[in-house]
Amino acid sequence: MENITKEFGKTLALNDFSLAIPEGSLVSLLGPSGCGKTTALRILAGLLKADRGRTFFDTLDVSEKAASQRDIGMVFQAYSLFPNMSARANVEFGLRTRKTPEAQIKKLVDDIFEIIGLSEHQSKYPFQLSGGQQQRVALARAIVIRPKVLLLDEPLSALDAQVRSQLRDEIRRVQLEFGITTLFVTHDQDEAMTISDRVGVMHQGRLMQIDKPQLVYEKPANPIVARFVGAMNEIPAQLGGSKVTFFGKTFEISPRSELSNAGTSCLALVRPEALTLSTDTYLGDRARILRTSFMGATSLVHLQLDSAREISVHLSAQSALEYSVGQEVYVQANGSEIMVASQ
Amino acid sequence: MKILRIFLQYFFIIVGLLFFALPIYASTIFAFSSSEGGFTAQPLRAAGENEELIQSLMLTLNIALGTVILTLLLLIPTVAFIHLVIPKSRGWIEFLTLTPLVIPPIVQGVGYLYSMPTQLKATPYALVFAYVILALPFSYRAIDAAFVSIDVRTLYDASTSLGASFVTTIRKILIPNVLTGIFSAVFLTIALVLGEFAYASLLLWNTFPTVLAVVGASGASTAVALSVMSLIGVWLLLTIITLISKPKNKVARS
Repeated sequence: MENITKEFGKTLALNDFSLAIPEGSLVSLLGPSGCGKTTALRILAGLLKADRGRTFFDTLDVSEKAASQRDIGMVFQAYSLFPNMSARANVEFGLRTRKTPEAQIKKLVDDIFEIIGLSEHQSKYPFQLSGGQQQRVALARAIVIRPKVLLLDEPLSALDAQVRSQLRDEIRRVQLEFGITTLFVTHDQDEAMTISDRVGVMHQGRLMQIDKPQLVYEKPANPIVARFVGAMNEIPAQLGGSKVTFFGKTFEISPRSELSNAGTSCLALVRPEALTLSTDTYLGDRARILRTSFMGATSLVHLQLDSAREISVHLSAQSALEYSVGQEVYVQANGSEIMVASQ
Repeated sequence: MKILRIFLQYFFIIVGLLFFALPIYASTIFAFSSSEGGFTAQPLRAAGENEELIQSLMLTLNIALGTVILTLLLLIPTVAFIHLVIPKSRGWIEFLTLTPLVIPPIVQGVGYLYSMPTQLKATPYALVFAYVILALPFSYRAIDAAFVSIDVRTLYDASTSLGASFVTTIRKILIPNVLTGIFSAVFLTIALVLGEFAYASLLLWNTFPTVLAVVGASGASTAVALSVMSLIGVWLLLTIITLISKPKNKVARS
Protein backbone atom coordinates (compact mmCIF):
# COMPACT_ATOMS: atom_id res chain seq x y z
CA MET A 1 0.00 0.00 0.00
CA GLU A 2 1.43 3.35 -0.99
CA ASN A 3 0.64 6.76 0.51
CA ILE A 4 -2.91 5.87 1.42
CA THR A 5 -5.07 8.63 2.86
CA LYS A 6 -8.64 8.10 4.01
CA GLU A 7 -11.00 10.48 5.75
CA PHE A 8 -14.33 9.77 7.41
CA GLY A 9 -16.05 13.13 7.62
CA LYS A 10 -13.57 15.23 9.55
CA THR A 11 -11.61 12.33 11.03
CA LEU A 12 -8.42 11.38 9.29
CA ALA A 13 -8.42 7.59 9.56
CA LEU A 14 -5.27 7.03 7.51
CA ASN A 15 -2.68 9.71 6.96
CA ASP A 16 -0.20 9.05 4.14
CA PHE A 17 -0.01 5.41 5.15
CA SER A 18 2.38 3.04 3.39
CA LEU A 19 2.88 -0.62 4.12
CA ALA A 20 4.71 -3.42 2.33
CA ILE A 21 4.03 -7.04 3.23
CA PRO A 22 6.80 -9.36 1.96
CA GLU A 23 5.44 -12.38 0.10
CA GLY A 24 4.67 -15.33 2.34
CA SER A 25 5.15 -13.42 5.60
CA LEU A 26 2.77 -12.51 8.36
CA VAL A 27 2.63 -8.82 9.23
CA SER A 28 0.57 -7.50 12.12
CA LEU A 29 -0.88 -4.05 12.52
CA LEU A 30 -1.08 -3.20 16.18
CA GLY A 31 -2.72 -0.18 17.72
CA PRO A 32 -5.48 1.09 19.97
CA SER A 33 -9.01 1.19 18.61
CA GLY A 34 -9.50 4.10 16.23
CA CYS A 35 -5.85 4.14 15.10
CA GLY A 36 -6.82 3.24 11.53
CA LYS A 37 -5.64 -0.37 11.43
CA THR A 38 -8.99 -1.83 10.41
CA THR A 39 -9.40 0.93 7.82
CA ALA A 40 -6.04 -0.06 6.33
CA LEU A 41 -7.13 -3.70 6.16
CA ARG A 42 -10.47 -2.86 4.58
CA ILE A 43 -8.78 -0.72 1.94
CA LEU A 44 -6.37 -3.54 1.20
CA ALA A 45 -9.37 -5.86 0.92
CA GLY A 46 -11.20 -3.52 -1.45
CA LEU A 47 -14.12 -3.13 0.94
CA LEU A 48 -13.28 0.56 1.30
CA LYS A 49 -11.94 3.00 -1.25
CA ALA A 50 -8.98 5.18 -0.37
CA ASP A 51 -9.24 8.92 -0.92
CA ARG A 52 -5.65 8.99 -2.17
CA GLY A 53 -2.91 6.44 -2.69
CA ARG A 54 -2.62 3.10 -4.47
CA THR A 55 -2.74 -0.54 -3.51
CA PHE A 56 -0.63 -3.21 -5.23
CA PHE A 57 -0.53 -7.01 -5.14
CA ASP A 58 3.01 -7.68 -6.31
CA THR A 59 3.28 -5.21 -9.17
CA LEU A 60 -0.40 -5.36 -10.07
CA ASP A 61 -2.32 -2.18 -9.22
CA VAL A 62 -5.60 -3.33 -7.64
CA SER A 63 -6.71 0.09 -6.38
CA GLU A 64 -9.73 0.20 -8.67
CA LYS A 65 -10.75 -3.43 -8.23
CA ALA A 66 -13.69 -4.50 -6.09
CA ALA A 67 -13.14 -6.90 -3.21
CA SER A 68 -14.71 -9.73 -5.20
CA GLN A 69 -12.03 -9.40 -7.90
CA ARG A 70 -8.97 -9.07 -5.68
CA ASP A 71 -8.41 -12.72 -4.81
CA ILE A 72 -8.29 -12.28 -1.05
CA GLY A 73 -9.30 -14.41 1.90
CA MET A 74 -10.67 -12.73 4.96
CA VAL A 75 -11.54 -13.66 8.54
CA PHE A 76 -13.63 -11.18 10.51
CA GLN A 77 -13.94 -10.22 14.14
CA ALA A 78 -17.67 -10.97 14.19
CA TYR A 79 -18.77 -14.51 13.42
CA SER A 80 -19.21 -14.37 9.69
CA LEU A 81 -20.19 -17.89 8.63
CA PHE A 82 -23.32 -17.93 6.50
CA PRO A 83 -26.03 -19.10 8.93
CA ASN A 84 -28.05 -20.80 6.18
CA MET A 85 -25.20 -23.11 5.12
CA SER A 86 -23.44 -26.01 6.79
CA ALA A 87 -19.77 -25.64 7.70
CA ARG A 88 -18.84 -27.54 4.55
CA ALA A 89 -21.06 -25.43 2.29
CA ASN A 90 -19.49 -22.33 3.82
CA VAL A 91 -16.01 -23.54 2.92
CA GLU A 92 -17.16 -24.57 -0.57
CA PHE A 93 -18.73 -21.16 -1.26
CA GLY A 94 -15.58 -19.39 -2.45
CA LEU A 95 -14.60 -22.33 -4.66
CA ARG A 96 -18.06 -22.41 -6.24
CA THR A 97 -18.02 -18.69 -7.05
CA ARG A 98 -14.69 -19.44 -8.79
CA LYS A 99 -16.36 -22.28 -10.72
CA THR A 100 -13.82 -24.82 -9.51
CA PRO A 101 -14.53 -28.33 -10.86
CA GLU A 102 -16.60 -30.46 -8.46
CA ALA A 103 -13.93 -33.16 -7.97
CA GLN A 104 -11.36 -30.58 -7.07
CA ILE A 105 -13.74 -28.85 -4.64
CA LYS A 106 -14.24 -32.15 -2.85
CA LYS A 107 -10.53 -32.76 -2.48
CA LEU A 108 -9.63 -29.23 -1.42
CA VAL A 109 -12.43 -29.05 1.14
CA ASP A 110 -11.71 -32.53 2.56
CA ASP A 111 -8.06 -31.55 2.96
CA ILE A 112 -8.73 -28.23 4.63
CA PHE A 113 -11.13 -29.78 7.15
CA GLU A 114 -8.41 -32.31 7.92
CA ILE A 115 -5.92 -29.51 8.50
CA ILE A 116 -8.14 -27.52 10.86
CA GLY A 117 -9.21 -30.75 12.57
CA LEU A 118 -12.94 -30.33 12.11
CA SER A 119 -13.69 -33.19 9.70
CA GLU A 120 -16.35 -34.52 12.09
CA HIS A 121 -18.23 -31.23 12.12
CA GLN A 122 -18.51 -30.56 8.38
CA SER A 123 -22.26 -31.05 8.18
CA LYS A 124 -23.05 -28.92 11.22
CA TYR A 125 -24.58 -25.47 10.91
CA PRO A 126 -22.77 -22.45 12.36
CA PHE A 127 -25.10 -22.21 15.35
CA GLN A 128 -24.12 -25.77 16.31
CA LEU A 129 -20.43 -24.87 16.47
CA SER A 130 -18.56 -23.16 19.30
CA GLY A 131 -17.04 -19.74 18.74
CA GLY A 132 -13.57 -21.20 18.27
CA GLN A 133 -14.83 -23.80 15.81
CA GLN A 134 -16.71 -21.12 13.86
CA GLN A 135 -13.56 -19.04 13.51
CA ARG A 136 -11.60 -22.11 12.42
CA VAL A 137 -14.17 -22.81 9.72
CA ALA A 138 -13.99 -19.13 8.74
CA LEU A 139 -10.21 -19.50 8.47
CA ALA A 140 -10.62 -22.63 6.36
CA ARG A 141 -13.13 -20.80 4.14
CA ALA A 142 -10.63 -17.97 3.64
CA ILE A 143 -7.60 -20.11 2.79
CA VAL A 144 -9.22 -22.91 0.79
CA ILE A 145 -9.37 -20.57 -2.20
CA ARG A 146 -5.57 -20.08 -1.96
CA PRO A 147 -5.84 -16.28 -1.87
CA LYS A 148 -3.00 -13.98 -2.79
CA VAL A 149 -3.43 -12.20 0.53
CA LEU A 150 -5.04 -13.42 3.75
CA LEU A 151 -6.60 -10.66 5.83
CA LEU A 152 -7.36 -11.26 9.49
CA ASP A 153 -9.46 -8.57 11.16
CA GLU A 154 -9.15 -9.24 14.91
CA PRO A 155 -10.36 -12.81 14.40
CA LEU A 156 -9.62 -13.81 17.99
CA SER A 157 -11.12 -10.98 19.98
CA ALA A 158 -14.53 -12.59 20.45
CA LEU A 159 -13.03 -15.78 21.90
CA ASP A 160 -12.07 -16.67 25.46
CA ALA A 161 -8.43 -16.77 26.52
CA GLN A 162 -7.65 -20.47 26.11
CA VAL A 163 -9.32 -20.89 22.72
CA ARG A 164 -7.71 -17.65 21.66
CA SER A 165 -4.13 -18.81 22.20
CA GLN A 166 -4.89 -22.18 20.56
CA LEU A 167 -6.35 -20.58 17.48
CA ARG A 168 -3.57 -18.02 17.40
CA ASP A 169 -0.98 -20.77 17.10
CA GLU A 170 -3.14 -22.56 14.57
CA ILE A 171 -3.35 -19.46 12.38
CA ARG A 172 0.43 -19.24 12.39
CA ARG A 173 0.83 -22.96 11.64
CA VAL A 174 -1.59 -22.87 8.70
CA GLN A 175 -0.12 -19.60 7.42
CA LEU A 176 3.38 -21.10 7.36
CA GLU A 177 2.13 -24.36 5.88
CA PHE A 178 0.50 -22.60 2.94
CA GLY A 179 3.00 -19.75 2.78
CA ILE A 180 0.20 -17.21 2.45
CA THR A 181 1.02 -13.51 2.59
CA THR A 182 -0.98 -12.37 5.61
CA LEU A 183 -2.03 -9.13 7.25
CA PHE A 184 -3.23 -9.50 10.82
CA VAL A 185 -4.94 -6.62 12.56
CA THR A 186 -5.21 -6.63 16.33
CA HIS A 187 -5.17 -4.46 19.44
CA ASP A 188 -3.69 -7.31 21.47
CA GLN A 189 0.12 -7.06 21.73
CA ASP A 190 0.64 -10.66 22.82
CA GLU A 191 -1.17 -11.87 19.70
CA ALA A 192 0.83 -9.61 17.44
CA MET A 193 4.16 -10.35 19.11
CA THR A 194 3.82 -14.12 19.20
CA ILE A 195 2.80 -14.93 15.63
CA SER A 196 4.16 -12.16 13.42
CA ASP A 197 7.24 -11.92 11.27
CA ARG A 198 6.91 -8.18 11.55
CA VAL A 199 4.78 -5.91 13.71
CA GLY A 200 3.58 -2.49 12.62
CA VAL A 201 2.53 -0.11 15.37
CA MET A 202 -0.10 2.44 14.37
CA HIS A 203 -1.07 5.70 15.99
CA GLN A 204 -3.64 8.23 14.70
CA GLY A 205 -3.63 6.92 11.14
CA ARG A 206 0.13 6.70 10.81
CA LEU A 207 2.52 3.79 10.90
CA MET A 208 4.93 4.64 13.73
CA GLN A 209 7.26 1.70 13.32
CA ILE A 210 7.39 -1.64 11.54
CA ASP A 211 9.95 -4.17 12.63
CA LYS A 212 10.56 -7.63 14.00
CA PRO A 213 8.55 -8.11 17.22
CA GLN A 214 11.66 -8.16 19.36
CA LEU A 215 12.98 -4.91 17.90
CA VAL A 216 9.65 -3.15 18.37
CA TYR A 217 9.85 -4.08 22.04
CA GLU A 218 13.54 -3.45 22.62
CA LYS A 219 14.15 -0.53 20.30
CA PRO A 220 10.87 1.34 19.98
CA ALA A 221 11.10 4.08 17.38
CA ASN A 222 9.63 6.74 19.63
CA PRO A 223 7.98 7.20 23.03
CA ILE A 224 4.51 6.52 21.58
CA VAL A 225 5.52 3.03 20.48
CA ALA A 226 7.48 2.51 23.69
CA ARG A 227 4.46 3.32 25.82
CA PHE A 228 2.04 1.27 23.73
CA VAL A 229 4.07 -1.92 23.41
CA GLY A 230 4.68 -3.74 26.65
CA ALA A 231 4.61 -2.27 30.15
CA MET A 232 6.52 0.96 30.63
CA ASN A 233 7.43 2.92 33.75
CA GLU A 234 7.47 6.68 33.51
CA ILE A 235 9.95 8.02 36.01
CA PRO A 236 10.53 11.76 36.63
CA ALA A 237 14.14 12.60 35.72
CA GLN A 238 16.49 15.56 35.32
CA LEU A 239 18.03 16.53 32.01
CA GLY A 240 21.59 17.72 31.67
CA GLY A 241 23.05 18.08 28.19
CA SER A 242 22.86 14.74 26.41
CA LYS A 243 22.35 12.91 29.68
CA VAL A 244 19.48 12.12 31.99
CA THR A 245 19.64 11.51 35.73
CA PHE A 246 17.23 9.58 37.95
CA PHE A 247 17.39 7.11 40.82
CA GLY A 248 20.87 8.47 41.60
CA LYS A 249 22.41 7.41 38.30
CA THR A 250 23.13 9.16 35.01
CA PHE A 251 22.43 7.68 31.56
CA GLU A 252 22.88 8.55 27.91
CA ILE A 253 19.68 9.78 26.25
CA SER A 254 18.44 7.53 23.45
CA PRO A 255 18.39 9.28 20.05
CA ARG A 256 14.83 8.03 19.55
CA SER A 257 13.58 10.18 22.41
CA GLU A 258 11.17 13.03 21.87
CA LEU A 259 11.50 16.27 23.77
CA SER A 260 9.22 19.07 22.76
CA ASN A 261 9.87 21.56 25.58
CA ALA A 262 13.44 22.36 26.53
CA GLY A 263 13.04 22.26 30.30
CA THR A 264 15.31 20.50 32.75
CA SER A 265 12.85 17.86 33.79
CA CYS A 266 11.43 14.98 31.74
CA LEU A 267 10.11 11.44 32.03
CA ALA A 268 12.46 8.49 31.70
CA LEU A 269 10.78 5.49 30.03
CA VAL A 270 12.03 2.30 31.64
CA ARG A 271 10.75 -1.28 31.25
CA PRO A 272 9.87 -3.12 34.49
CA GLU A 273 12.60 -5.69 33.81
CA ALA A 274 15.24 -2.95 33.60
CA LEU A 275 14.74 -2.03 37.27
CA THR A 276 16.20 -3.79 40.29
CA LEU A 277 15.31 -3.75 43.97
CA SER A 278 17.47 -3.98 47.06
CA THR A 279 16.89 -3.65 50.79
CA ASP A 280 20.10 -3.50 52.72
CA THR A 281 22.14 -0.89 50.90
CA TYR A 282 21.28 2.65 50.01
CA LEU A 283 21.13 2.16 46.23
CA GLY A 284 18.78 4.30 44.18
CA ASP A 285 15.53 5.91 45.35
CA ARG A 286 13.37 4.84 48.24
CA ALA A 287 10.02 3.22 47.49
CA ARG A 288 7.33 1.26 49.32
CA ILE A 289 5.89 -2.02 48.06
CA LEU A 290 2.17 -1.75 47.32
CA ARG A 291 1.38 -5.25 46.08
CA THR A 292 2.81 -8.15 44.09
CA SER A 293 1.15 -9.76 41.07
CA PHE A 294 2.19 -13.39 40.65
CA MET A 295 2.44 -14.33 36.96
CA GLY A 296 3.93 -17.82 36.98
CA ALA A 297 7.66 -17.76 36.37
CA THR A 298 7.84 -14.08 37.17
CA SER A 299 6.15 -11.59 39.43
CA LEU A 300 5.37 -7.95 38.93
CA VAL A 301 6.07 -5.88 42.04
CA HIS A 302 4.19 -2.59 42.28
CA LEU A 303 5.93 0.21 44.14
CA GLN A 304 5.16 3.73 45.23
CA LEU A 305 7.99 6.25 45.07
CA ASP A 306 8.33 9.03 47.63
CA SER A 307 6.92 11.35 44.97
CA ALA A 308 3.69 9.22 45.17
CA ARG A 309 4.23 8.00 41.58
CA GLU A 310 3.61 4.29 41.05
CA ILE A 311 6.00 2.08 39.14
CA SER A 312 6.41 -1.65 38.66
CA VAL A 313 9.40 -3.99 38.65
CA HIS A 314 9.65 -7.41 37.03
CA LEU A 315 11.33 -10.01 39.23
CA SER A 316 11.60 -13.78 39.11
CA ALA A 317 8.82 -15.28 41.20
CA GLN A 318 11.50 -16.64 43.56
CA SER A 319 13.16 -13.29 44.32
CA ALA A 320 9.80 -11.54 44.64
CA LEU A 321 9.15 -13.76 47.67
CA GLU A 322 11.87 -11.89 49.53
CA TYR A 323 9.72 -8.79 49.68
CA SER A 324 6.50 -8.14 51.52
CA VAL A 325 3.77 -5.55 51.13
CA GLY A 326 4.51 -2.26 52.90
CA GLN A 327 8.27 -2.91 53.01
CA GLU A 328 10.73 -0.11 52.22
CA VAL A 329 13.07 -0.88 49.33
CA TYR A 330 15.50 0.95 47.08
CA VAL A 331 15.02 0.93 43.35
CA GLN A 332 17.60 1.43 40.65
CA ALA A 333 17.76 1.29 36.87
CA ASN A 334 20.14 -0.71 34.64
CA GLY A 335 21.25 -0.21 31.07
CA SER A 336 23.21 2.35 29.17
CA GLU A 337 20.69 4.28 27.09
CA ILE A 338 17.40 5.60 28.31
CA MET A 339 14.52 6.90 26.24
CA VAL A 340 12.96 10.07 27.57
CA ALA A 341 9.80 11.98 26.80
CA SER A 342 8.44 15.39 27.71
CA GLN A 343 6.42 15.57 30.86
CA MET B 1 -50.47 -11.13 45.70
CA LYS B 2 -49.22 -13.88 43.46
CA ILE B 3 -52.69 -15.32 43.04
CA LEU B 4 -54.04 -11.89 42.19
CA ARG B 5 -51.35 -11.45 39.55
CA ILE B 6 -52.07 -14.81 37.96
CA PHE B 7 -55.79 -14.05 38.06
CA LEU B 8 -55.27 -10.70 36.35
CA GLN B 9 -53.05 -12.28 33.72
CA TYR B 10 -55.66 -14.85 32.77
CA PHE B 11 -58.44 -12.28 33.02
CA PHE B 12 -56.83 -10.03 30.42
CA ILE B 13 -55.90 -12.92 28.16
CA ILE B 14 -59.50 -14.17 28.20
CA VAL B 15 -60.97 -10.70 27.66
CA GLY B 16 -58.55 -10.21 24.76
CA LEU B 17 -59.49 -13.53 23.18
CA LEU B 18 -63.20 -12.81 23.55
CA PHE B 19 -62.72 -9.40 21.96
CA PHE B 20 -61.40 -11.06 18.81
CA ALA B 21 -63.38 -14.29 18.87
CA LEU B 22 -66.89 -13.03 19.58
CA PRO B 23 -67.40 -11.03 16.37
CA ILE B 24 -66.08 -13.94 14.29
CA TYR B 25 -68.33 -16.34 16.17
CA ALA B 26 -71.35 -14.08 15.74
CA SER B 27 -70.63 -13.63 12.00
CA THR B 28 -70.32 -17.37 11.52
CA ILE B 29 -73.62 -18.01 13.30
CA PHE B 30 -75.31 -15.24 11.32
CA ALA B 31 -73.96 -16.36 7.96
CA PHE B 32 -74.56 -20.06 8.20
CA SER B 33 -77.83 -20.26 10.19
CA SER B 34 -80.71 -21.59 8.23
CA SER B 35 -84.14 -19.97 8.60
CA GLU B 36 -85.57 -23.44 9.36
CA GLY B 37 -83.12 -23.85 12.27
CA GLY B 38 -79.75 -25.60 12.15
CA PHE B 39 -76.94 -24.67 9.78
CA THR B 40 -76.69 -24.44 6.02
CA ALA B 41 -73.97 -23.91 3.40
CA GLN B 42 -76.49 -22.13 1.16
CA PRO B 43 -74.74 -18.68 1.29
CA LEU B 44 -71.51 -20.21 0.03
CA ARG B 45 -73.30 -22.08 -2.72
CA ALA B 46 -74.96 -18.83 -3.76
CA ALA B 47 -71.55 -17.19 -3.87
CA GLY B 48 -70.19 -20.05 -5.98
CA GLU B 49 -72.92 -19.47 -8.53
CA ASN B 50 -72.25 -15.74 -8.67
CA GLU B 51 -70.10 -15.40 -11.78
CA GLU B 52 -69.08 -11.82 -11.06
CA LEU B 53 -67.90 -12.68 -7.56
CA ILE B 54 -65.70 -15.53 -8.79
CA GLN B 55 -64.20 -13.35 -11.51
CA SER B 56 -63.46 -10.56 -9.05
CA LEU B 57 -61.83 -13.05 -6.69
CA MET B 58 -59.55 -14.29 -9.47
CA LEU B 59 -58.70 -10.71 -10.40
CA THR B 60 -57.88 -9.82 -6.80
CA LEU B 61 -55.68 -12.90 -6.43
CA ASN B 62 -53.81 -11.93 -9.62
CA ILE B 63 -53.38 -8.38 -8.36
CA ALA B 64 -52.13 -9.78 -5.04
CA LEU B 65 -49.58 -11.92 -6.89
CA GLY B 66 -48.40 -8.94 -8.94
CA THR B 67 -48.17 -6.78 -5.83
CA VAL B 68 -46.13 -9.39 -4.00
CA ILE B 69 -43.68 -9.86 -6.88
CA LEU B 70 -43.19 -6.13 -7.42
CA THR B 71 -42.85 -5.51 -3.67
CA LEU B 72 -40.13 -8.14 -3.27
CA LEU B 73 -38.25 -7.09 -6.40
CA LEU B 74 -38.21 -3.52 -5.16
CA LEU B 75 -37.73 -3.98 -1.45
CA ILE B 76 -35.10 -6.71 -1.04
CA PRO B 77 -32.32 -4.95 -2.97
CA THR B 78 -33.40 -1.57 -1.58
CA VAL B 79 -33.35 -2.66 2.05
CA ALA B 80 -30.03 -4.45 1.49
CA PHE B 81 -28.65 -1.24 -0.02
CA ILE B 82 -29.95 0.85 2.88
CA HIS B 83 -28.37 -1.46 5.45
CA LEU B 84 -25.05 -1.64 3.63
CA VAL B 85 -24.55 1.85 2.27
CA ILE B 86 -26.72 4.33 4.14
CA PRO B 87 -27.51 2.67 7.49
CA LYS B 88 -27.74 6.06 9.19
CA SER B 89 -30.74 7.03 7.04
CA ARG B 90 -32.81 4.08 8.22
CA GLY B 91 -34.87 6.21 10.58
CA TRP B 92 -35.87 8.65 7.88
CA ILE B 93 -36.65 6.00 5.33
CA GLU B 94 -38.78 4.11 7.80
CA PHE B 95 -40.67 7.32 8.47
CA LEU B 96 -41.16 7.89 4.73
CA THR B 97 -42.66 4.43 4.31
CA LEU B 98 -45.38 5.46 6.75
CA THR B 99 -46.74 8.22 4.51
CA PRO B 100 -49.27 5.96 2.73
CA LEU B 101 -50.99 5.63 6.10
CA VAL B 102 -51.48 9.37 6.53
CA ILE B 103 -52.29 10.51 2.99
CA PRO B 104 -56.03 10.02 2.37
CA PRO B 105 -56.92 7.43 -0.31
CA ILE B 106 -58.80 10.02 -2.35
CA VAL B 107 -55.64 12.11 -2.69
CA GLN B 108 -53.51 9.14 -3.57
CA GLY B 109 -56.14 7.68 -5.87
CA VAL B 110 -56.49 10.85 -7.91
CA GLY B 111 -52.71 11.15 -7.88
CA TYR B 112 -52.40 7.71 -9.44
CA LEU B 113 -55.00 8.51 -12.07
CA TYR B 114 -52.97 11.52 -13.13
CA SER B 115 -49.55 9.91 -13.01
CA MET B 116 -50.35 6.55 -14.64
CA PRO B 117 -49.58 6.10 -18.34
CA THR B 118 -52.80 5.74 -20.35
CA GLN B 119 -52.21 2.10 -21.28
CA LEU B 120 -51.99 1.16 -17.59
CA LYS B 121 -55.03 3.24 -16.62
CA ALA B 122 -57.13 0.99 -18.80
CA THR B 123 -56.38 -2.16 -16.81
CA PRO B 124 -57.18 -3.09 -13.21
CA TYR B 125 -53.50 -4.06 -12.79
CA ALA B 126 -52.80 -0.36 -12.32
CA LEU B 127 -53.91 -1.15 -8.78
CA VAL B 128 -50.72 -3.21 -8.32
CA PHE B 129 -48.68 -0.01 -8.20
CA ALA B 130 -51.06 1.59 -5.74
CA TYR B 131 -51.02 -1.49 -3.53
CA VAL B 132 -47.23 -1.80 -3.51
CA ILE B 133 -47.11 1.65 -1.98
CA LEU B 134 -50.09 1.09 0.26
CA ALA B 135 -48.48 -2.07 1.66
CA LEU B 136 -45.13 -0.34 2.15
CA PRO B 137 -45.56 0.49 5.86
CA PHE B 138 -45.99 -3.23 6.55
CA SER B 139 -43.81 -4.90 3.93
CA TYR B 140 -40.86 -2.56 4.47
CA ARG B 141 -40.93 -3.06 8.21
CA ALA B 142 -41.14 -6.83 7.97
CA ILE B 143 -38.12 -7.05 5.66
CA ASP B 144 -36.19 -4.35 7.49
CA ALA B 145 -36.67 -6.16 10.81
CA ALA B 146 -35.28 -9.36 9.31
CA PHE B 147 -32.22 -7.52 8.03
CA VAL B 148 -31.69 -5.98 11.46
CA SER B 149 -31.55 -9.46 12.98
CA ILE B 150 -28.55 -10.51 10.87
CA ASP B 151 -25.12 -8.93 10.57
CA VAL B 152 -25.63 -7.72 6.99
CA ARG B 153 -22.32 -5.90 6.78
CA THR B 154 -20.17 -8.86 7.84
CA LEU B 155 -22.10 -11.40 5.76
CA TYR B 156 -21.85 -9.14 2.74
CA ASP B 157 -18.13 -8.49 3.23
CA ALA B 158 -17.48 -12.20 3.75
CA SER B 159 -19.38 -13.07 0.60
CA THR B 160 -17.70 -10.45 -1.62
CA SER B 161 -14.27 -11.29 -0.20
CA LEU B 162 -14.92 -14.83 -1.44
CA GLY B 163 -15.53 -13.50 -4.95
CA ALA B 164 -19.34 -13.31 -5.04
CA SER B 165 -21.10 -10.47 -6.89
CA PHE B 166 -23.82 -8.25 -5.38
CA VAL B 167 -26.56 -10.28 -7.04
CA THR B 168 -25.09 -13.63 -5.96
CA THR B 169 -24.69 -12.32 -2.42
CA ILE B 170 -28.32 -11.21 -2.28
CA ARG B 171 -29.57 -14.46 -3.80
CA LYS B 172 -27.48 -16.99 -1.94
CA ILE B 173 -26.58 -15.29 1.33
CA LEU B 174 -28.97 -12.49 2.25
CA ILE B 175 -32.34 -13.82 1.04
CA PRO B 176 -32.04 -17.24 2.71
CA ASN B 177 -31.23 -15.51 5.98
CA VAL B 178 -34.14 -13.07 5.91
CA LEU B 179 -36.78 -15.54 4.67
CA THR B 180 -38.93 -15.09 7.77
CA GLY B 181 -39.19 -11.38 7.10
CA ILE B 182 -39.90 -11.98 3.42
CA PHE B 183 -42.70 -14.40 4.28
CA SER B 184 -44.23 -11.88 6.69
CA ALA B 185 -44.05 -9.18 4.03
CA VAL B 186 -45.72 -11.50 1.50
CA PHE B 187 -48.45 -12.45 3.92
CA LEU B 188 -49.18 -8.90 5.02
CA THR B 189 -49.27 -7.71 1.42
CA ILE B 190 -51.70 -10.47 0.37
CA ALA B 191 -53.92 -9.75 3.37
CA LEU B 192 -53.96 -6.08 2.49
CA VAL B 193 -54.84 -6.64 -1.17
CA LEU B 194 -57.59 -9.14 -0.30
CA GLY B 195 -59.31 -6.55 1.87
CA GLU B 196 -58.55 -3.26 0.11
CA PHE B 197 -61.73 -1.41 -0.75
CA ALA B 198 -61.10 2.34 -0.98
CA TYR B 199 -58.76 2.47 -3.99
CA ALA B 200 -60.55 -0.18 -6.02
CA SER B 201 -63.84 1.56 -5.42
CA LEU B 202 -62.43 5.03 -6.19
CA LEU B 203 -60.80 3.83 -9.38
CA LEU B 204 -63.95 1.91 -10.32
CA TRP B 205 -62.54 -1.61 -10.56
CA ASN B 206 -64.51 -4.69 -9.61
CA THR B 207 -62.15 -6.38 -7.21
CA PHE B 208 -63.26 -8.93 -4.64
CA PRO B 209 -63.87 -6.43 -1.81
CA THR B 210 -65.90 -4.04 -4.00
CA VAL B 211 -68.05 -6.82 -5.45
CA LEU B 212 -68.46 -8.23 -1.96
CA ALA B 213 -69.84 -4.89 -0.84
CA VAL B 214 -72.39 -4.93 -3.68
CA VAL B 215 -73.37 -8.53 -2.90
CA GLY B 216 -73.65 -7.62 0.76
CA ALA B 217 -76.15 -4.89 -0.04
CA SER B 218 -78.56 -7.43 -1.55
CA GLY B 219 -77.93 -10.50 0.60
CA ALA B 220 -76.10 -9.97 3.83
CA SER B 221 -75.54 -13.62 4.73
CA THR B 222 -73.57 -14.38 1.55
CA ALA B 223 -71.25 -11.41 2.11
CA VAL B 224 -70.68 -12.29 5.74
CA ALA B 225 -70.14 -15.96 4.86
CA LEU B 226 -67.48 -14.96 2.33
CA SER B 227 -65.84 -12.63 4.82
CA VAL B 228 -65.64 -15.43 7.33
CA MET B 229 -64.23 -17.75 4.66
CA SER B 230 -61.59 -15.26 3.57
CA LEU B 231 -60.68 -14.69 7.21
CA ILE B 232 -60.19 -18.44 7.66
CA GLY B 233 -58.19 -18.53 4.43
CA VAL B 234 -55.87 -15.81 5.68
CA TRP B 235 -55.47 -17.61 9.00
CA LEU B 236 -54.55 -20.81 7.20
CA LEU B 237 -52.02 -18.90 5.11
CA LEU B 238 -50.53 -17.43 8.27
CA THR B 239 -50.25 -20.86 9.89
CA ILE B 240 -48.62 -22.40 6.84
CA ILE B 241 -46.14 -19.55 6.55
CA THR B 242 -45.27 -19.76 10.24
CA LEU B 243 -44.66 -23.49 9.92
CA ILE B 244 -42.52 -23.44 6.78
CA SER B 245 -40.60 -20.30 7.62
CA LYS B 246 -39.46 -21.51 11.03
CA PRO B 247 -35.69 -21.63 10.44
CA LYS B 248 -33.88 -24.81 11.34
CA ASN B 249 -31.47 -23.06 13.66
CA LYS B 250 -34.17 -21.48 15.80
CA VAL B 251 -35.67 -24.89 16.47
CA ALA B 252 -32.42 -26.49 17.53
CA ARG B 253 -31.21 -23.55 19.56
CA SER B 254 -34.07 -23.64 22.06
